[in-house]
Amino acid sequence: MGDVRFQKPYDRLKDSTGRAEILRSMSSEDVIAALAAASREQDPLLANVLASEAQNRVSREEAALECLGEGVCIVDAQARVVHINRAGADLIHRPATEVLWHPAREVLNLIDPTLGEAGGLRPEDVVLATGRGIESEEGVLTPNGSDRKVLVGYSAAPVRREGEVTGVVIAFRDITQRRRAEQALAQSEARLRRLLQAIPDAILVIDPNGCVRYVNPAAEDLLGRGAQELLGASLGIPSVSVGGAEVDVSGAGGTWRLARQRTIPFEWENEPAFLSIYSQVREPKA
Amino acid sequence: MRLSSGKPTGTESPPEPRWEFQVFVVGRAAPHSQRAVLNLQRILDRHLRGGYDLKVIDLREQPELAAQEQLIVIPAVVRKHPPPSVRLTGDFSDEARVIGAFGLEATPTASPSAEGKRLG
Repeated sequence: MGDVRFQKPYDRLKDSTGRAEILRSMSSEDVIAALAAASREQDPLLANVLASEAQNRVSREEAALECLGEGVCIVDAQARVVHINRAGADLIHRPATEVLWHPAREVLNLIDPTLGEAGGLRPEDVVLATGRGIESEEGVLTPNGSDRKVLVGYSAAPVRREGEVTGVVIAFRDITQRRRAEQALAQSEARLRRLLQAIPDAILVIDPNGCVRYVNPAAEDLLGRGAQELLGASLGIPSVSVGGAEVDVSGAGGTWRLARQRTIPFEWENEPAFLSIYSQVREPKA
Repeated sequence: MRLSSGKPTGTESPPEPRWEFQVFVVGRAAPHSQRAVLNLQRILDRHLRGGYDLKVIDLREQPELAAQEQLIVIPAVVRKHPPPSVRLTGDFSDEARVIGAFGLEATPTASPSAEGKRLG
């Protein structure tokens, strides 16, 4: 099948005119197939040209892989490591030469708990079985059977030759620090929300367009409205000086209550906002 | 209450489009209502050369407007023109906030004699 596919370019390559241009237009897979054909036909000159082109391409691709900040591991159809770049070897704390031809399940031990059921699956196994690529931020690397777990985001894509899946390229990056920072931020925000819930003063978070983004229970009481009604409502952009100002706030049943409003610039869910605090001055006005 | 067009005299330049504001208060005689209106008028006089209309609406006189305009915190001022509608609340003592929200930065500074037309 390969011979038929490459008969035409191969014949064109026999003529040295425009050979460089023809080579440039060929995929790496085409170059390998043409090299096989040249060897079979015992054309050493053309075989040399094609072997040199193939070697150049491999060198360029390997150089590109080595420069990547992401770990890249290529496995064959038996899920054995056939290449791992420097960033990947650094992440598993082993030299690349040591892990070649070892099963990826031992070298990387990459499990994605979101794949399949009961503890997750290995992405390379899934890609080899289905031929479909995967992208996920939920990978867990436990390299070399150690206890060291590394949270990774990864993408796994099939390598195909003549339509057959012959391997998998797995690109992965350590997201442990990022995940810890996200968890710390989430915990911090949860603490802040608990604090705001407990404060007896009415508190509203207002976005730069004047819309309500958060209300605490005291604000629901003061304004006589539930959070569902208040969230998203256009309250208005607060304009009060540092010392605060007296304002009237609408309570239940169309009453108005005098309150002292203080407002500070704030950040809410990573966006600029205003934190407005309302302390009731006295009971509903006559 | 002063009523004035605020237009400089003796010039032939075409009239500039007027800015329109509505300020809502609960009891126009209440000290905090008066303070808010005065703060607002001072800022608008300074930045709009009097080329604006400011309508003061007392929700004690027109309570139905609170629900209609979905007013929750008063004093509130709404810029009706030019669009889009922009709403501020408080006593408007944070001048930078008023200028930024209403887009008054690019407007020329008013002469000391320029005044706005206050309605209502």
